[in-house]
Amino acid sequence: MSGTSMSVLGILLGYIAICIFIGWYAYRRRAPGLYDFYVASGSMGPIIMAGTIAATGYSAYAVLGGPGWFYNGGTSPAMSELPYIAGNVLVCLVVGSRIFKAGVYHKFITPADFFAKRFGEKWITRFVVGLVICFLASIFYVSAQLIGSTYVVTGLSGGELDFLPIVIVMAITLVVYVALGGFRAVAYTDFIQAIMMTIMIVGFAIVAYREFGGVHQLWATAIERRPSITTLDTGHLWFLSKGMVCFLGAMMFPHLWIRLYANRSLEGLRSMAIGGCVAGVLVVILSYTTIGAVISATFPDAATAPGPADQLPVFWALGRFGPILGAVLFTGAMAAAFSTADSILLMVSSSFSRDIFGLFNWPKTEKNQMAVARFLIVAIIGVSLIGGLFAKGTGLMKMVLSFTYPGYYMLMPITLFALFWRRANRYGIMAGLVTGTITTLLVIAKVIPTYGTYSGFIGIAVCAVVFVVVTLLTPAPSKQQLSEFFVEQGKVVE
Amino acid sequence: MRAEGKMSVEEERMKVANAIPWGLLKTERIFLPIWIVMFVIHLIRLQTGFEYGEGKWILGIPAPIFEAWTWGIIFLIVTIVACTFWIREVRERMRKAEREGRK
Repeated sequence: MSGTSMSVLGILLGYIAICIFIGWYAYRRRAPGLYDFYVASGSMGPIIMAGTIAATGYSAYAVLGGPGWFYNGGTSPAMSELPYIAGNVLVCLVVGSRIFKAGVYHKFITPADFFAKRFGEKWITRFVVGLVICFLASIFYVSAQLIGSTYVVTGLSGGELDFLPIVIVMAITLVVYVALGGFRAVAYTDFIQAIMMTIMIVGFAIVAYREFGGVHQLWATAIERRPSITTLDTGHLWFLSKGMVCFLGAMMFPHLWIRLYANRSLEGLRSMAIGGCVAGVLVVILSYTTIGAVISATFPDAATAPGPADQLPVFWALGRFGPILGAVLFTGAMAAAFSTADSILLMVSSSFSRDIFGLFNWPKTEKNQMAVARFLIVAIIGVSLIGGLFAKGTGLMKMVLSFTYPGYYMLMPITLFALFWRRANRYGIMAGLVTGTITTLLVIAKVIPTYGTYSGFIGIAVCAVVFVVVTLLTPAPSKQQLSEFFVEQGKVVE
Repeated sequence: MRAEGKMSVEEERMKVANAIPWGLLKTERIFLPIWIVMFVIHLIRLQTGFEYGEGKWILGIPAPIFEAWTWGIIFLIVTIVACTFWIREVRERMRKAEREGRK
């Protein structure tokens, strides 16, 4: 094994040791019960909240896939990201603060808890939101992050480290610290991962601008060598429809949603809004476009480039910094993938435990509930790892991942109706969710055309329209049901 | 034993939750239309693809890239301003509830 691989392995092991230590530390600070395991009993302070939102919201895609897309598709990734940044404050404050309020009163753990309580309907809501959107649509998302972080490590070693043992080590690490410390472990590691990602992105950009002799020189070189980087690879209607959806869709990601339940304070809500926005701006300016410009200037011809577009930042860093410093820098990319994978893993586990087992009131005792929660983390990582490895080249994984984001965004119209339209009823949500989900799946299977729009747009529109029509055609919810959800002045409904 | 005046996690969360209304705050009623108008302008620019024609540069950066960065920074500034007013209004509601509670 070469010195490069040894140093990459050493850095990986050091990083794993830190994660496991944090998991053990979080385990020692635990309180009994699922509420503490999944949302830390709502005790997370503002600094941790800012870090966990930034790290969870941005995966390895932010430092590898995004610049890779810029290399091939010009300004597309930046334009695609801006609506998230724009909507972040609205979603965190206007919508998120009310989700937080409901979470405090009702001790919610999952997004489906929120809808089940608001609409007084648990079967369809928990089945569609819990099982289909939070569980099935997300399980391959864990695989994708796990596989992505492994590619970073194997890529840094120049292919000397084998994929399979590394991916297994990564999976075991995730299981150990998430199962030990639950949400606390995830949030604490996220905070460190956010710092690592920031150091990586800022460090990369500073060195790149110095290397090319300034901002203008870098961009002039990049455009001269690869003029296509100021154009778009996707139609304008696609950006328009995706922009509309993403504007209010960011906090609808279930793994971000549960952070609202974990928040402790007023400042925490502000931290989430500003933290998410700062991370987005940093990613657009320093990662997608600047790192994208660096790889465009360095490897202008895709045919002779040393690897696929999303691995070119790694090759540039290895060439510029050498194996050890390059590996240290790209631990940030691995951290980015880990921070998203652990959050989704915990969310998927909570959805299965709460939304599916919870329907049958099983297990009965708190001790058994905790044992099942931890077992689920092991089982889910096993399924997502095996499923991901088998589905990698089959297109199945891509198809399921195609549903992940549109599925998450479907929570956006029903959340707005749930919070700000008292007339919204259980029949509306049932009809909206079922028709929206089926439409989205038909669009992904190419049975229904997209007409140049974002693939989730039609399903979300159908979900919203059907929700409104069915609600207006059926009886309004009772005053008692509404007063049980819209609790006033701390009358906690158990 | 807890230090006097220091709230438990549950008390702090409850106090914040009580101060956030189910309806819209005054800050939200002011910022929402501004935000929506700003976003519609942004959507129109997205729809045109940040197009400037061949070779246009602003402050040493290609014009479409400059516009993308500028939108990000504008949204960040407005976010910070909106958060400042929002948190001030909720804090005021918390203080008011505390005063009324004492009476």
